[in-house]
Amino acid sequence: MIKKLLYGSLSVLLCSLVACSQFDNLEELDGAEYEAEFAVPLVETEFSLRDLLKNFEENASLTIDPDGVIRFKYSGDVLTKTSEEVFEEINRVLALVPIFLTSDRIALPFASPDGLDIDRMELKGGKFTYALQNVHSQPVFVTLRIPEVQKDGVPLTITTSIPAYGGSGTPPSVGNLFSPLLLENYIIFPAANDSIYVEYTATDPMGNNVLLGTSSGVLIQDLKFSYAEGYLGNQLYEGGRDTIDIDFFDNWIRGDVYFEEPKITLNFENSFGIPTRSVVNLFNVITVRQEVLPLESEFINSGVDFPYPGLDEVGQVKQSAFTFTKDNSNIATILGAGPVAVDYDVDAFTNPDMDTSIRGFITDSSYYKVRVDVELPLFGRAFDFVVSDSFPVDFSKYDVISAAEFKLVADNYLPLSVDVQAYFRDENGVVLDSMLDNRQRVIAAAPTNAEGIATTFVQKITFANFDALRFDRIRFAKDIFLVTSFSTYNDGDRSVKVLADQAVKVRMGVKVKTGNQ
Amino acid sequence: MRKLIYIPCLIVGSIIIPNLAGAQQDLSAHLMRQTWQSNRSNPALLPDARFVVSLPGLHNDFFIENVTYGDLIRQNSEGKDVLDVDHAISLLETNNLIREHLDIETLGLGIRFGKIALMGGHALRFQAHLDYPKALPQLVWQGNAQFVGQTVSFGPDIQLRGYHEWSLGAAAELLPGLTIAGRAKWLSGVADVSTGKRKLELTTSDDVYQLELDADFQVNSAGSLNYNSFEDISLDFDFGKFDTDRLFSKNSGFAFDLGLRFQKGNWDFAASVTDIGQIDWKDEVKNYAFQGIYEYKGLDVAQAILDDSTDFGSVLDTLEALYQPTETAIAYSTTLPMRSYLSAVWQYSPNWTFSGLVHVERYRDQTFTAFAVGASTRLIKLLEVGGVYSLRKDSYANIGLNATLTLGPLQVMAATDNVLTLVRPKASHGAHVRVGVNLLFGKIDREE
Repeated sequence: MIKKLLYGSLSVLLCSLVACSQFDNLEELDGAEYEAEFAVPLVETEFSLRDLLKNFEENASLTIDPDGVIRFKYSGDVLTKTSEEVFEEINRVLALVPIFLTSDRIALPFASPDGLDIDRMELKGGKFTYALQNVHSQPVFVTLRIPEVQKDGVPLTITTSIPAYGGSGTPPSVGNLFSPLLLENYIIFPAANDSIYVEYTATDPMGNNVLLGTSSGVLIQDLKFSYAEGYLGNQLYEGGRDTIDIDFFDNWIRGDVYFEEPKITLNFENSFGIPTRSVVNLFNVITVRQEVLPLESEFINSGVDFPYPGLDEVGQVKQSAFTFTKDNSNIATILGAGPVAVDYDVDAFTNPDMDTSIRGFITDSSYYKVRVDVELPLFGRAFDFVVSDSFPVDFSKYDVISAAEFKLVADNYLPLSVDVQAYFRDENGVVLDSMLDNRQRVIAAAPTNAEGIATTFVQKITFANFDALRFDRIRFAKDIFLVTSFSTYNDGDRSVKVLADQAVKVRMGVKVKTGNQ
Repeated sequence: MRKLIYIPCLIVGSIIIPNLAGAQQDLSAHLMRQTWQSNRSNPALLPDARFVVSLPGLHNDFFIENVTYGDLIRQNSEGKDVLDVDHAISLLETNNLIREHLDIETLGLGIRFGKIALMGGHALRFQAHLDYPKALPQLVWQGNAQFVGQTVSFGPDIQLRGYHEWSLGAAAELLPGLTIAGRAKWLSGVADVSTGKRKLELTTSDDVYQLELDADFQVNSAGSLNYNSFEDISLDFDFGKFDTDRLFSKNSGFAFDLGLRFQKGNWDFAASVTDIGQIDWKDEVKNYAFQGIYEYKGLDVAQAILDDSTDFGSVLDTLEALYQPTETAIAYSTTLPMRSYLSAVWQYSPNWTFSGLVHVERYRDQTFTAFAVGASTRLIKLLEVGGVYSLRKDSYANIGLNATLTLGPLQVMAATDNVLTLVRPKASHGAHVRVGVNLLFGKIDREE
């Protein structure tokens, strides 16, 4: 038994020793064999022409012609007038006071403002109220008519009867004070003298015509017109003063800049059926030397006519543009002198020739817009727009990098081809290496629509592999200097337009292999 | 990059691993009915003595899933032993578990009064639990490049806990051979670090590897963890160290053990459920939460992440702004690992017994099941030895040995659930040992 006990004890002891001895080699470990690959982002940025061109803002665009000419186009604010302001004037005139029916035919005090000669006015709103009084001892039957106000060809007519007057107290009357007649869809055809007449017949039971009491009257309120036709008089509509800033030279980095054929264009858009002409109160170019140079042209003096739809073109919008060029103005002189702003004030004047034979119209949706564009063609198609940015980096603490793979993704939303290069620079700005072997036409231009505006983007993914030796060269790089240039060379067959909010989005990431194997 | 993974796990990751010690489920002791140590798993199991004193003893149980020491330490092509983490990672499954239980059982008393028995005792228990996804070591050791274009979850589930256990129980033989027992335990928490939420998801874009960390991660701590900044994290937790400071702390709780034993002829059946309870941590509580979606697109943070320097420096300045955890002091509770035992022992002859056991443990929303069969023999009057074969998930070669030496009233017991650990420690997924010394007075026969 003792022997069994000893055997058992020895066995357990032996096992323990074996177990412990097997872990002895922990102290002799030769370390860990380690190999890992990490993927991390490095740079996420974007470059747009806004970065390059100061004030290249919402109302600016850049067009590249097929021959490479770059056109900067700056637009001023859009000056807009609607029919609301025109009708407001008419409505003001027709804001009638109560008219007492002192005879059986009386003219409403309707006078065209500033010489309006209205042929026809369609109403979309308005209220007609009447009160008719009988001062006779017999009841009367009354027919009230306004022949110039019609609906479906039928004049506005009210028929009613009024009880007899007892001789004392207030004479009886009838009316619609609390339920006025709505004038929606009525049409006013003013009489030849621009008047509107109210007439009535009042007959007693014997068939005799009688007059109503002098307290009888009518009232027209809240007229709203949807259409007016005729000679609509002279109206001056103020467009207001606006300034277009065209100072974009700050970040221009190379090349002589001059404008080949600058243009100023007045763009008209009009649905008023009225002859209208521009009145230029002010049109100056301010130069870098703070000179104020006025635009001079016979068209400044005479004005430029707006296009307008005829009576058979109601609802149409007419568009036209008038351009001041070097042939009809002094624009080449004033815009070639380093312009930094265009300051202008343009009004609109209706029926400038006061030709009453021209019958026009307005509707409640009529409007006109005037937009001033300044177009500066930049001569020199070989220009590059170069923008750059730097991003601090520090690879020096990496112990062992066996390989690195840089990945550059560029999304080009511009209709221009783009070149990209990334340089690894030391603290003195000395280039240690570049990501790509040479500057590459990384991204093609984004496809454009018929107007030359990019409709989507083009993505280009580029990889650059660095072995350990090459990585050692950039180990002490202090920044990544990212250079992006937009080429103005246009491969396409149409002009393309670069908008301020379009950009090239550039992103970089890297996969690094590290370890001790 | 490693730091990106490290930082959210910094608090927990840096404290759990070093505290894990070697050693498995305590199956052998349950079948050693002649010892006081079987009482731990069923209060109805009492040795055949009128008065029992259990002197200080130790139980340690370590389990690591899917990998072994031998998987980690391998010979390279030059014949040198190296740490081969890549090989170990290749053996991991989606989720992997490491567990350690260390019990220092200081004193136990049992006394019988006829059909009634009373029992009490004290123990200091430490428990560590780490459930980690494979993606965690993959990210830390192998990098995230393998996950380009993917979202991976790498949040671990962690529990590191120590507590004193004061117990008082009673057993009664209601019917001849049928004993029921119950034990109430007052728990005094020493310290705890545990994860309340474990969501950590890293997305590596396939564009230029932009990183996005979606975090809803919370670490609760009581009396152990102090965070001032990423550079100043301290853990006051001595795993396995007996300390009387918190014998009666404000971090307290209750637990219960219920047991049943039925002896008939040569058969001895037992069923029990133990550690039904929890500890409420309310003293010196700190909760650290990382919540939100953190995106890394630019060089500033990415550069910091790439920096492999051990000097955190400016890296932490950058990351801390992003990762500043929300600190609160909200009380929380942690449940004990509830265990169930169903066993039978057959006395084949005066010297030979055979046994079988089904064991189920429920802990941290996981269920761990084990089956065991055993045999024991009395080699000499003083010595009884036994062997146990047990079966666990993904672990089929578990041969346990146990021995009980009785010298008068002195009883010394030792058991391991896997002796192969001693023979082939490098290939073992766990280690288990229990040793105990008991004094048994007034031996009683079963017929009594």
